[in-house]
Amino acid sequence: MFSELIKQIPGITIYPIVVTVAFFLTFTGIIIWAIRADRKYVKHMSELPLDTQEYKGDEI
Amino acid sequence: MSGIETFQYDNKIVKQFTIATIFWGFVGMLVGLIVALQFFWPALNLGIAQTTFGRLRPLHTNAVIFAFVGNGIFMGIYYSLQRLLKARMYNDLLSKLHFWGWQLIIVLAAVSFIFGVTTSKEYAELEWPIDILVAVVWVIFGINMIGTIIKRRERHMYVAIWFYIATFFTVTILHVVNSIEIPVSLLKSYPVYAGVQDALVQWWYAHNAVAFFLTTPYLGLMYYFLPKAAERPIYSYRLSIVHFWALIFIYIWAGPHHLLYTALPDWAQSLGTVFSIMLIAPSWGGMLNGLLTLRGAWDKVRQDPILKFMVVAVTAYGMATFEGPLLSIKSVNALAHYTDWIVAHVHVGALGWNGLLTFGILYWLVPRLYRTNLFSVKLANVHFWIATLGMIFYAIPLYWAGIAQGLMWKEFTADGFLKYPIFMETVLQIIPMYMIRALGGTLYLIGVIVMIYNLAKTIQGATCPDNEEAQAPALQAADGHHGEKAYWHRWIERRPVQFMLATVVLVAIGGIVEIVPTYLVKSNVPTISSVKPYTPLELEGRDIYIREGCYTCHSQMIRPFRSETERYGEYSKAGEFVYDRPFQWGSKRTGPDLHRVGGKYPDAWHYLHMLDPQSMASGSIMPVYPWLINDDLDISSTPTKIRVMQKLGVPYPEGFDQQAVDDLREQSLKITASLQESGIEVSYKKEIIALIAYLQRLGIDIKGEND
Repeated sequence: MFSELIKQIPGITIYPIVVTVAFFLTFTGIIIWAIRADRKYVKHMSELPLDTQEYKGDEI
Repeated sequence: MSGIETFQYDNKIVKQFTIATIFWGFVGMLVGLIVALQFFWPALNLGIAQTTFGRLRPLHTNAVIFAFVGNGIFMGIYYSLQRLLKARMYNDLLSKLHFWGWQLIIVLAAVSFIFGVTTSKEYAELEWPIDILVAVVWVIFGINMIGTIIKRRERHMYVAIWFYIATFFTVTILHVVNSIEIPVSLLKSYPVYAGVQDALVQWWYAHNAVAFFLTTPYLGLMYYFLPKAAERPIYSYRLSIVHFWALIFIYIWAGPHHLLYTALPDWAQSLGTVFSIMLIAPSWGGMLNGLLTLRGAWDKVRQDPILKFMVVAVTAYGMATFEGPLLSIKSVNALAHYTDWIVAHVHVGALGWNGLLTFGILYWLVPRLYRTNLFSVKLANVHFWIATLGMIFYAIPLYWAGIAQGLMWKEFTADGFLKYPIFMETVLQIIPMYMIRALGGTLYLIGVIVMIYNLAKTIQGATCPDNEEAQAPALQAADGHHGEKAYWHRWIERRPVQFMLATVVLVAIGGIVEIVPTYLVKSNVPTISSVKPYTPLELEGRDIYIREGCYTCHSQMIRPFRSETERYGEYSKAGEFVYDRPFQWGSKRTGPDLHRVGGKYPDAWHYLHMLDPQSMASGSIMPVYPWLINDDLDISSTPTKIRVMQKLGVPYPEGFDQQAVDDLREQSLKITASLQESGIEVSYKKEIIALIAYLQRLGIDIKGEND
């Protein structure tokens, strides 16, 4: 039933290639940024569940 | 700087979900124990329709997944979300509607399943009216959760909240796509998908139900409650970013690993395998993050039963997420598919990860909600050991049974014949394993009873205040400047809407790439000209097969192995299933595959076998089905069924719905005549006639070509 609708999508074969490239770029990017993250900020975020620190506003 | 605001956390809703979690956990596991006993004590099916394994199995799966884990998710989210965002839930009425709506769904599910109202699609068995209710309640939950996020006082969203968001959006997509069905009546519908496409959509859904209902929300809960219980922050926030995005992107593609060596196109199977193996990395990222949080604090684990539960839960998560990818390798899957190994795998995850983490959270949360101490730390420790022992007694016998039976199915003698040609032989060999498994489940349930006692004594004489006061500064407007080390991910953590969009996009990619080509590319489901639609009588028989849950024990998918073609006949082709709505490939062979049972036994054999399986197959553990012989077939919706099928593209002749009942009667009379020749007198109106017609049709369409 959907075949008729979906057959009209042009150039469908390129999408998996685009996705794979986007996947690799995205994850390389995420890993690089994760490695370069600011230490103080990381500490603040990881302690959020614990009621250890006073609220410091948006400075960090 | 703004002033400090005073507000209140809603604890009442948390308390309600907590009680529901415990109650349904007990109920769901009790049903699990009953069905486990039925494996070696078939008399426990009681000879009535409502208590047969086929009807109770979905009751068990839905109760433990949606009622136990579901309420557990909401218990954890409603508690942690408010505190992480320093804001009360967005709307109290939505909270109430969510809670009562969810419990209503559970009750409706229980009633509908035992009366055979089912779509037979695993973990999506609810028929269309309840599907709509699920969507409504789920959206209510979403509005409540997203509303809270938007009115938060803590600008940055802790990792647990990303998991909750991903859960919400993905489950929405999964539920909607897998539930697209055309109603035939109030209690019956047919999916728009058929055969191969239905199988792919179903297992895309079901595996992602595991991913986004059983895993991601619980990872979120782990990221909150484990640091709380251990009183230290999570090991690596950076790791949580990387593994979160990787997990939600990769998980979606893994669905085809449920369909290896079936009629699903090869490219889809390969994608499922590759992504399942890649999934080890982000899953273990989560496990390591949890376990390493306790580095240097392992002596705390020795003292504290809560940490014991959590550590074993996270470890079980790691085990299951290693085993899963291994089972997704085709050569391993060739042995494991349809066996009890898969059941063992499921329960390592379910009892270990979901169960134990829930218990750990309960022991932590209930005393805090009621502002008292846990009644007995000793009993909590006892529960821990009983639960762990129960899991071991559950999983190990089933590993044994699964591998032994899988090997028996495959074994050939030196002369090239099947070593175990009688399926029953392979079943009888593993009955002792089923008994030990039931012992394991009993132990696990006893542990839950110990917990209920402990928690009941804890809350005795204590009260849980509906609200808990809190204070926090109001949210300040963000300034554009973030200093030199502007950090990309912080940007999106402060922007929940963009975060949600990114999540949805990532999650949608896998589904679209895997599902769309099965429609577009004709070679994926080659047409077989001799395959014809089911007759009205066969269609009714098929719907009885679905109603009774036959798929819970019987598969209809012969794999291209010599051991299977010798035992069952020609392997199953994609084109044979084009009119199957829903598909009935099954996931387990407690009994033999039925795809080519058509013509294998005379009508009389089927009649006697359904009446009492042990009369035709000595030692059978299959339940008896006497009501099929006593009850009249309901033909009131037969014409509607034909019309709906026509609308969905099945090539019945124009106007055939008007002739359907006559056609049905004609075919019924032929079958009763054949039964009469074997000395069996039965009215042509009975349900058994329809079921026999269906069973005799299975797999014969392509046989003509080989003769």
